[in-house]
Amino acid sequence: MKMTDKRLARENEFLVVFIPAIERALVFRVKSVINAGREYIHYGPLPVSEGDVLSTLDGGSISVPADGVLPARAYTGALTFSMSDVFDEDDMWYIPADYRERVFHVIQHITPSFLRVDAQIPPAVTQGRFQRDKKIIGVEKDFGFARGEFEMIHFPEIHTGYRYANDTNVDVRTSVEFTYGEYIVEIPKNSELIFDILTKKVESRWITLPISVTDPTITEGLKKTYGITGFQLFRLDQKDEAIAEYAKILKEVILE
Amino acid sequence: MSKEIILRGETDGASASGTVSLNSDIFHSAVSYFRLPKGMKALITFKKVSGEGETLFTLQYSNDVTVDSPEWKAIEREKLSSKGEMAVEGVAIILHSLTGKEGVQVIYEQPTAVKAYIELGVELKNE
Repeated sequence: MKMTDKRLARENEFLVVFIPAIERALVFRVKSVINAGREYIHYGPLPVSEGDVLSTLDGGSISVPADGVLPARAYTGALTFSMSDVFDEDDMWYIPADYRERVFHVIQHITPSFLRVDAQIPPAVTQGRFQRDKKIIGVEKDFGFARGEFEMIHFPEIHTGYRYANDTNVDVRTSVEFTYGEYIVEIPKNSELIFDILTKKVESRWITLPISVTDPTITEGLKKTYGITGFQLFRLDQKDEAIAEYAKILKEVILE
Repeated sequence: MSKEIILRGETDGASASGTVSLNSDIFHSAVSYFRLPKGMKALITFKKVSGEGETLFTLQYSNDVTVDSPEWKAIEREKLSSKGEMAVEGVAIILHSLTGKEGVQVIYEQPTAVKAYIELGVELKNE
């Protein structure tokens, strides 16, 4: 039996999800982990189908030779993972705003582990940037990607697509396994506690999302789900200002 | 998530020398060489050779497989002196992919053409 990934949160832990593009963090307390002890989904091959045409790292295009096979030197567009009987059967990690009491913490493990992976949030919006917007980076570039593993928080109302690239000369058979936590969360209503969490005086699980570009669907999705886009970070010596600001933000929160 | 791949190759039994086609359970089809992912290193952890007769396998490395005629350099040899099999564990061959153009292949030479096989355990790691 596999051990639970230690990156997943447990009950009563604080979870901070920082969004670099808007310089704000969502702060949650994990009230419950719905799938404790059942954190694994062996999803199967990447959702590419025989005959799909993919771009290559060398500037051409190539046809997928069989379902789930990523051709040599090819990279995908934004892929989502389908599943029957879920809210959006084309994207198993998507839930709408009225599921606001939940977030999915997902760590995907890709075979073969040398495959490159990045995220588009929302799909078609590449988030990798270097030197402001001077250079867009990602799986099809020399940097701006991970290999074999990717960690993500899926908020309601926001679709996330994943891209994969194979920089070897081999057509490879692929598979994806997810380790995930379906958390029931609340936003702490105490502005001093939020300050202590965000200044790291109180321990939390801190995840920085790979969001470098503010797309309206992200901010609108957060507003629709939580009523807010998050909390700014302040220095320790700005406590009074921070607490006043957080108190204002907390009045807008629509998550119980 | 698998971090290790097993490369398997075999001679064709008709030619006394040549390049081994490399295959693996995660390969959709065999290749004559394996181009290493950029910025990673391949750690060869074991070798196993077997066959119907004397065979010399040579592991070769190229700095650039993208050119028309890559220059291959021998880095490791394993000789099966007669019919049988031999496994070598605890091997520590490290191949670096500094440019993303590096590759490895296996060639073979035999006094008489026979079927022979090679397996390489390859662990791919970030530098």
